[in-house]
Amino acid sequence: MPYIHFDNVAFYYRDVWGKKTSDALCRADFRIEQGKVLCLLGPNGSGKSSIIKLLMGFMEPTGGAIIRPKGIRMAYVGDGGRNLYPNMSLRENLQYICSLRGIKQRFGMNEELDRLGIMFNLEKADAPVSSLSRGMRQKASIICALMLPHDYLVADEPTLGLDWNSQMQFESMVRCEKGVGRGVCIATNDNAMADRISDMSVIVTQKGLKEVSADACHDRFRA
Amino acid sequence: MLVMIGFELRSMFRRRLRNPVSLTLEGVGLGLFMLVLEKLLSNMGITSVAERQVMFISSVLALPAIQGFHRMISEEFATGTAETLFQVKSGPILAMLAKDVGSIASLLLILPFTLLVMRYSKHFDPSFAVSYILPIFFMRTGLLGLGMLLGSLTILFRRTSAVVNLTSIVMIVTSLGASSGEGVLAWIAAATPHGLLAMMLQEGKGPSDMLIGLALVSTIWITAGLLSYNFSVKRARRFGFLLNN
Repeated sequence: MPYIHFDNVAFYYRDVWGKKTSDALCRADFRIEQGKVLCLLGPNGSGKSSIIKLLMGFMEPTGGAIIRPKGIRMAYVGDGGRNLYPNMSLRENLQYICSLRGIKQRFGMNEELDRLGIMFNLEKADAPVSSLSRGMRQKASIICALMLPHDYLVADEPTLGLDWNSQMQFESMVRCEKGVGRGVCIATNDNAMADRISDMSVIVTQKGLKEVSADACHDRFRA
Repeated sequence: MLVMIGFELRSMFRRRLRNPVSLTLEGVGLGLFMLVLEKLLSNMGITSVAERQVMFISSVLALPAIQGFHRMISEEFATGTAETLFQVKSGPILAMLAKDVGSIASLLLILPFTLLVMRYSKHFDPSFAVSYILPIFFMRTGLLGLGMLLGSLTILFRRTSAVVNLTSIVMIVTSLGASSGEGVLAWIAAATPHGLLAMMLQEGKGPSDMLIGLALVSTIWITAGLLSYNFSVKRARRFGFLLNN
């Protein structure tokens, strides 16, 4: 299976003049494989979101390299649904993002959107995103990401603000993604969810990264 | 690209037609301002009123080109949607071009109301204005480059509204200005698409005589805009402040 390889990646933040402002990551070395779910765990400020930004290409590593297969497509779930345009509805957001990526609207897209809306209990696909609650916006962001053609699903705190049913729906969708051979990378503080769905977890701390298997993660969580 | 333009046009028409009163008022307001301007210029004894009206209309058309990219980037950073935009390699440029076409179409929607008021003008000649469409097009395209340059500054420094507003004011004043000045001032005016058009209009040049100069200056600005955009995005990605700050 193709994979994305973080090859000894280091990153530190700098200001516009190039002056170092803070450390984010040192010697991150792990793989995100297709058909597997990888969870990034760790305390606040440890660098989980930085890894997500590096993965999405919003940042370039200071040291090391991120090796990606050519032509891979990513779908991204932002924290709190902030990656959706607030003045547009979910349907319009999807149309806009598709047109931005040069994707033509495929037959049956609207029906699929409605189905996912019912599944996540979000039947306001035509209401402006700004009129939705935080949890609803998060659901809209998840639906939008799932609707886009992708090989990897990347999510930053996807279950923050979701009700229990929607969390379970999200987890079942992640299992489906894995089942159809897509890679999933989730940065989360929800250890219980990571325990349920991950094949591999990376514990991110300010000292470095530690890769743990699903079983070890399970034992760690139980302990 | 065409899909993006189609999307922007559809949403712009929907938004504009939902509020026809504002559409009418904007058009009528612009027309009334042009009439007041005409009166002032006539009182000052300036004879080239028609040229200055053409220059003013072109400035109004050009404003979104200068401010558009900065506004879009600022909004995207403020709302967090930059995460969506920067996922696509040339996403911001594509979005800017589509929004720009939308803003021109929006101005064209208000233009009939402006022309309705301008019927009371003694100097305004629509056929004279129409003959300058091609030079205005070149000038506007060049200003997109200047807009990209200002937007790149926004990517690097975030709060650059003052610079953008000052540039817009300078542009509008140039369009009404009595003369483009001499020496360095003339040189600066000739180096910008808008200043060059104003200079050539004041010198009484015909539309076909303006094209080569405007095309050259516009190409330089577009190149400068693209280079500055690439530089700022690359720097922001390397230093990690593309989505932060």
